[in-house]
Amino acid sequence: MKKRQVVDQVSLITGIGMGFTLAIQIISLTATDFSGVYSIITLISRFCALIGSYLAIIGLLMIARIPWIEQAAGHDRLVTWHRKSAPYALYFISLHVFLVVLGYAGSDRNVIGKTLWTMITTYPWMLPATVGFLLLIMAGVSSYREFRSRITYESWWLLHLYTYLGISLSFMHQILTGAMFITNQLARYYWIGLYLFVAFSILTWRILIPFVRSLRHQLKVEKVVAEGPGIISIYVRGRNILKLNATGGQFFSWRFITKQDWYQSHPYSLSAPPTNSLLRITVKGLGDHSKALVNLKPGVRVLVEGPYGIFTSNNAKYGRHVVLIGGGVGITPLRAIMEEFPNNTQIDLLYRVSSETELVLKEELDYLADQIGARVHYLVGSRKEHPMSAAYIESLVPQFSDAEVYICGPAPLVAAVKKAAAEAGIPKDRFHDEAFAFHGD
Amino acid sequence: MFRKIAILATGTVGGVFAVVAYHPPQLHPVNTIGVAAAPNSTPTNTASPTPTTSKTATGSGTPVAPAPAAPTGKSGTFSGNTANTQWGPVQVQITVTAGKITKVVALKLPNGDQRTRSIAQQSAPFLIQQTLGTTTANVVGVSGASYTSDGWRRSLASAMAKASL
Repeated sequence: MKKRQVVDQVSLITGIGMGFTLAIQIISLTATDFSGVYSIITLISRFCALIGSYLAIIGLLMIARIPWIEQAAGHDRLVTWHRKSAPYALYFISLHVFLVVLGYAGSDRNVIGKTLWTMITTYPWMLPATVGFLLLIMAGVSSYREFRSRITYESWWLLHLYTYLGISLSFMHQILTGAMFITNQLARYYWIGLYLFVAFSILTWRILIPFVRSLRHQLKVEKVVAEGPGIISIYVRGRNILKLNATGGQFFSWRFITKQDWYQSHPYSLSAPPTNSLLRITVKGLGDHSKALVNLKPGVRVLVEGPYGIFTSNNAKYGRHVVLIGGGVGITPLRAIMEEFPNNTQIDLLYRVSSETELVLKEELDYLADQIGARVHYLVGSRKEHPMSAAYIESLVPQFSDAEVYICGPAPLVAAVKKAAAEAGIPKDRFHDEAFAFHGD
Repeated sequence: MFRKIAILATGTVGGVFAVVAYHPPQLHPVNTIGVAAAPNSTPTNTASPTPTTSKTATGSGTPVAPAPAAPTGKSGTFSGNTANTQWGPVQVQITVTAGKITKVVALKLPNGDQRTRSIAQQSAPFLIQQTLGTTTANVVGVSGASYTSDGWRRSLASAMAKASL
């Protein structure tokens, strides 16, 4: 597939970049680098610095919303890779800090504390680099599961913003004190180029384009409607919305310009296919931000980033029979893609909730099902009553094993259905899940 | 997943080899002595009327500059003053033949700490190269090794003054 090729090409380029990064240290090796244990420790620390920084850079690029990469890999996969690789960036950078101080202290026969002090106070840009390192550690620690679960999405997000500052602050000490950059102009150009590219990508695709688009489409809150206990729909009106090329199943990152919450943005899936003048999201009030959305007043300006995600009807590989499975408020993207499949598609919608009151958009779903000839299965009750195993799903949808599966919901449900799909022999490319749109917090 | 890791690894190995093949590392100990390529003809210039008689002052450490031979002393070996920098001393020795710097020796390089030694080691060959054949002590220097470069210029200036260049 074409998308796979793009992912392969990007992987190859990323690999070559890592090769170049290692090479700029290799080509600037000198005999003194091997003149003793501490010199070798210093050398290893430089390799750690390069690897860690490169991983950090790649981590930033993964979430820089570069359009063709988003299209090929899918936003949720990019975020997953970002999450998996980022800790290694931190490990390597931490190792660099530890080893470089140890190496310098050893070869200068100094105590570690004194060496550290000398380095911070006399080397160019070392104080900002130290501050940057501490910021990275702070953002990293706050992302660890243990800590992440104790703080709100809002606090985590703010702390995470500091990684940009941390990485920027550490840049100059690399160029001015890194042995590999001092005598090698090409290495310096390569490194500066890499950072400029990242800065450009973030400024362009995360800030400039979303901002310009939001202004052009003049997005404003139209109304807020209660759908169920703690669940609301927000209608956003704008001009020429179809030009955003958003489809059902995709999501935007939403920023509502109110006094309290203008600085933060949150991802929510569209809960209906966009029309030329309206967008709709349906949100469950779980975090501080989503609770505050209830009080949104009509006319509030809205800035969006997106659309993101490849959880779309046109990504169906087979597509004659689709099984859409939604858990709780995870029903929203499925509601949106439901009417976007071709006319002759057979659709089964499984809607899994633990109690009747959680069923949102029910009237809408029933109406739609009637219109397009879809079958809706409301699965209300405990996990015991509705074990989402292959056998259970097949009892509802006999041709489950031949179908194309779309699932959005809480992680345990997604895991159960993934297992069921595998048991039923459904190949991976016919199984679509959107982990990100349902970031339950 | 496995496929992506394989692609990444291939790219990394390829990238390393491409760069290293283009620019291999200088692993042998850095030469702090630079000699200009032998001039293709013996100096026939009349600028140095007594080339063989001028004594060769091999001052190492303390300057033993041949002050009396100032007007005609266009050949010989001259050590510059030691220039102290924040990271340690720099001392340059030049050998002048027929009014041209033909050999450069870095007698002292900053050795304040590990990083300084490493930088000095890397920048010395560039500074020597810039000094060979120069007519001014104000060599370009090596960016990133600004202290060493600065010390180098000062020491070189005093050496050139002694050689009346």
